[in-house]
Amino acid sequence: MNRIKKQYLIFVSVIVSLGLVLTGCGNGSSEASGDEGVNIKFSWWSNPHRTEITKQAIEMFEEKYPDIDVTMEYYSWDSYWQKLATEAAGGGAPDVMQMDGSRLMEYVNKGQLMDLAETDIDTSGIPDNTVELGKVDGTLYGLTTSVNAQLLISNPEILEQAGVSIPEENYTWEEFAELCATIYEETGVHGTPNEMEQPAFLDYFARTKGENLYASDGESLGLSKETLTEWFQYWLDIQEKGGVPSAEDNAAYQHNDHSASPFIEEKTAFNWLFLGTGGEFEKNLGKPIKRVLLPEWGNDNKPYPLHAAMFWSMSSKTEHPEAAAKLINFLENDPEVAKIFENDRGIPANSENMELVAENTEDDTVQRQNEFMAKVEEIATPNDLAPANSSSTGDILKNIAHEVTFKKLTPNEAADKFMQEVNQALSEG
Amino acid sequence: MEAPVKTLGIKRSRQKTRASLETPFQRNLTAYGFLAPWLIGMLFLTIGSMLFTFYLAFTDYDLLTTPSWTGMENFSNIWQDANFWGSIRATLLYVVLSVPARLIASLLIALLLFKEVRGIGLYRALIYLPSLIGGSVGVSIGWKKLFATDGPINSFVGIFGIEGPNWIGNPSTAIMVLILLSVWQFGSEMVIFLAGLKQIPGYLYEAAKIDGASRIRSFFSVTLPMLSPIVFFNLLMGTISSFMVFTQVYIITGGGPMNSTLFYVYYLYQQAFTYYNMGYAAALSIILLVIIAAFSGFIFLTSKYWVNYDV
Repeated sequence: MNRIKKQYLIFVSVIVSLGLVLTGCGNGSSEASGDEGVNIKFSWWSNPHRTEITKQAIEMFEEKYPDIDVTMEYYSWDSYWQKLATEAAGGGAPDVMQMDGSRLMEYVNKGQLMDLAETDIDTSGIPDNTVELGKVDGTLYGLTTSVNAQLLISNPEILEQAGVSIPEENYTWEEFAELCATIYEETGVHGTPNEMEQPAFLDYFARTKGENLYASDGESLGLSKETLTEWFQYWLDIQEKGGVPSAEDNAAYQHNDHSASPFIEEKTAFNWLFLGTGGEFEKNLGKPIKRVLLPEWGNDNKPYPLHAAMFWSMSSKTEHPEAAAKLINFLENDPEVAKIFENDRGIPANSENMELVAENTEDDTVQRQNEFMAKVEEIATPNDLAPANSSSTGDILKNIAHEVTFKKLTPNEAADKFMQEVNQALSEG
Repeated sequence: MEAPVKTLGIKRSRQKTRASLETPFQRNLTAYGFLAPWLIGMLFLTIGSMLFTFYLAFTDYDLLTTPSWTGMENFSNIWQDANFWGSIRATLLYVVLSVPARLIASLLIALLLFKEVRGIGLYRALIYLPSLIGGSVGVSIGWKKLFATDGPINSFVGIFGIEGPNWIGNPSTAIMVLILLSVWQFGSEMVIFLAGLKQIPGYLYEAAKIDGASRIRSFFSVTLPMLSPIVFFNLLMGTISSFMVFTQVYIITGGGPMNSTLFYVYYLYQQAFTYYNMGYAAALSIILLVIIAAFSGFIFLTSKYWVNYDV
């Protein structure tokens, strides 16, 4: 009797412990799996609205293809990349994933992505130069979901109070700096947040000088020390005149936290951002905003970059390439999906869908975004993908920019330091 | 009632024969069974990961490709890494200021809440509960708003005509904001102190009173020595947890301004998950293990001079 009891106890405790271990490893987000057919995993970085509409799209997909079951995973931007890298390390990368231009190269170099040209995905509805954006050495690793561009948004009320307006035609960096200073003098509101620490905008600045942030081989910086020094000096001068918030206020504002932007609290007249996020700013501000092209947009160097807002990519390790291709095709080209997505991921890459969205939407932001993008497409040239080892550039630039704003480094010293640190990161890998 | 002796004797001899037939493993099987949940977790989740970390520390590993052996390279790079030394400096400053501040705060509040007045249980709960969530994301976000340029703190000091800085954006005050948030998480220490205070026998205070000791004197001569094992425990746990502070930095300052709050674990996280330098991060974590072990060892060694285990 004793013996049986003992064995029973052991049995129970082992079961319980295994249960604990297994639930720990369990996947919380998987949903009812189909009885037959295949299961593919699909991950994306999200915001609450995007989560909702993407789930709707997946429901439609599963209705259309009842033998394919999609497991969904969605995270915030930061967590997404942690999770994706960890899953890829464990050999369990999602079959279909949302990819960003800053990471595409890295995943390609590590052999994680599939050549999409070998699948049945239909790219005929997408302009060639847009498809081109997702190619690395001629191989299509990312299918552009939508396009995006940098711009300035302005708060028309503040500009009116200050008695200034932004020129319709091309304007210079100097004119923009003066504009910011005047706004501060007239209203006490700063011109714009200090964007010294943002690599994407430094890249644009370099492009107006006929340079690029990175060299084309991706193994070193592409801009000259003069341009870099000028960039630091430019923002420092604006700061001296009150055109941007103080060094302290700037340091307390994490620039990737859009909801914390001083623009939303009407503490700045402008905000520099990507077209796709404008709607979010407009909603948070609660007033209509105006979208403006950046300084020197019309200069001879054709500085405006055409960006892919994001890509659909397929894991090179996928066991169900056909099902994954069907999903990408559906998300990219299905008109009903496009109507749900609208411009959430940027201006749709599929031209017909873009027009369809514009005709059907009740959100006039879409209309204004499309008009703006049409202007950009006339002047823009495609942008290079960020090199594989550039993930630390953002933090390096941020720290050095802070030291410049607090006057611990002169623009000249800052340029030296930036070049040395970034070049080292790029060459090491 | 005379039977027990006999039965006991029989039982013992029976057990003896059975015991000799069983291996020690079989005899302890039940215990292993009960230990299994913890043991499996420890073996597979903790020990396994730790050993793997030791291995990774000597490799170049970016998560996506297989690790390649680089020997001591990570450690020699760390030695020359300005951010590493910056993070050591920031973390030490944080530990040295926040640990004693939190100890003193929790002891003072425990002394206040030790008084037997009506409804003391309610006061204890009300003061204790909020401090438990001090390390959470929500509180960190609130804290950030509290110390903004136009936040409540500056509105308050504004009443006295002082123009407060942007506490979080100022390189010299940002770390203070984080230390203050740590002090506010006094709850668990306070509860342990309260339990300790209850253990001090009343006659010691009576004796002190008869000897004419003032209240301050009896605090330093009776309360503090009697509490010293608890101070020791709280000091040790507080030091270890302060070295590992992360959430608050991640949410409130992001390591800035100018790396003034680039605490060690946050830097380790950046290396691992922002730059994908897993090998480098593994090496950093081993160095942290050594640092924490050294500090704990030091606290243990000095304890015999100030921790009082009598009565």
